[in-house]
Amino acid sequence: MGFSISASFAVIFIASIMAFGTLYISLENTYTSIAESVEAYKETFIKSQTSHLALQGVSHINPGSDVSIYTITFNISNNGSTLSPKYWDFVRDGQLKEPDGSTLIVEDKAYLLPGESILIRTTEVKDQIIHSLIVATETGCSLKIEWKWVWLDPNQTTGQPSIVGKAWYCS
Amino acid sequence: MIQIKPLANLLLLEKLGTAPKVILMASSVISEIILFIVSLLVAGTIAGGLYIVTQDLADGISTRGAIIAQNLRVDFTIINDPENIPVLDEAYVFYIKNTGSEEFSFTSSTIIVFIDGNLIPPSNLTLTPSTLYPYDIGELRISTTLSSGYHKLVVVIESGKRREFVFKI
Repeated sequence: MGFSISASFAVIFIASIMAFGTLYISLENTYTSIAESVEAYKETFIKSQTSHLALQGVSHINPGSDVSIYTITFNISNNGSTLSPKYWDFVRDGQLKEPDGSTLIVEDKAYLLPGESILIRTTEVKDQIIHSLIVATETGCSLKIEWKWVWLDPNQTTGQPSIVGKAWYCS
Repeated sequence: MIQIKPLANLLLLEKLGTAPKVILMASSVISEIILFIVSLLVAGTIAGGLYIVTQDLADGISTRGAIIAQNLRVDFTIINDPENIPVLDEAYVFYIKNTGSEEFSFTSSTIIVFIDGNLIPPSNLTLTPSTLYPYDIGELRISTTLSSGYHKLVVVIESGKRREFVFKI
């Protein structure tokens, strides 16, 4: 009788240890997995909060008064944490546009360190419509630039692009 | 019918010699063995039940933990120009960028879209590609009619993560 009780107790005891062991391993793995994800989430959040692009300057090339297009170059400076332009996307006048080397040229840079600048060049028609370029970074934050062509004389022989608006925003 | 009293019965057995004692001992051992086996079976059943319950619990914790961990890694952003939403084949085109570190499914059965609080039926949605990997851009086309003015788009992905986007038509 005593032996039976001891044996039963031993079986239940061993099973309990195994059960708690399984539970512990599962809890530990889950904790590690969630902790790593929380860390990744924090990093992403901090990166988006500390990223900041700003329009530092604008220049343009006017091929001549008889040519209806011009090239505008935006000098964009990184006033925040390091970014990777290779993961950026561009929305030009509402349409997603890939840099093609002619109508949209983006300076080739693997990283944009704090304080560094990058040049983005695009061509546009000399019209009175407000045009826009959105630079969507890998952090989910974007820089929006709006501009239009302004004639400087009534004969419309000389003119230049004028920045209408700019915004840095995160969503 | 002859009835033998228990005390008399024992006295009788004592007179008969040691053979009945052996029989008594054997029956006691058999009882002990039966008791031992039964107790082991009961203990085994309890242990088995404990193992199954614990395993279920552990699996549940692992699965839930994996889902929470994945949700934290999934993120996306709507990168359209809010003032200039392109229209293609009578459908508004929105660009969804995967800004997380995990891919997510991008189909009409895994994405829920609301505009101004109204659910857009999956049949009115066209999504490409079917999976969005980190830093990829997906195209969401919504076939609907919108009046001029401000509207709010809400996109909910499979993991439950949602993003709002206010735009102007």
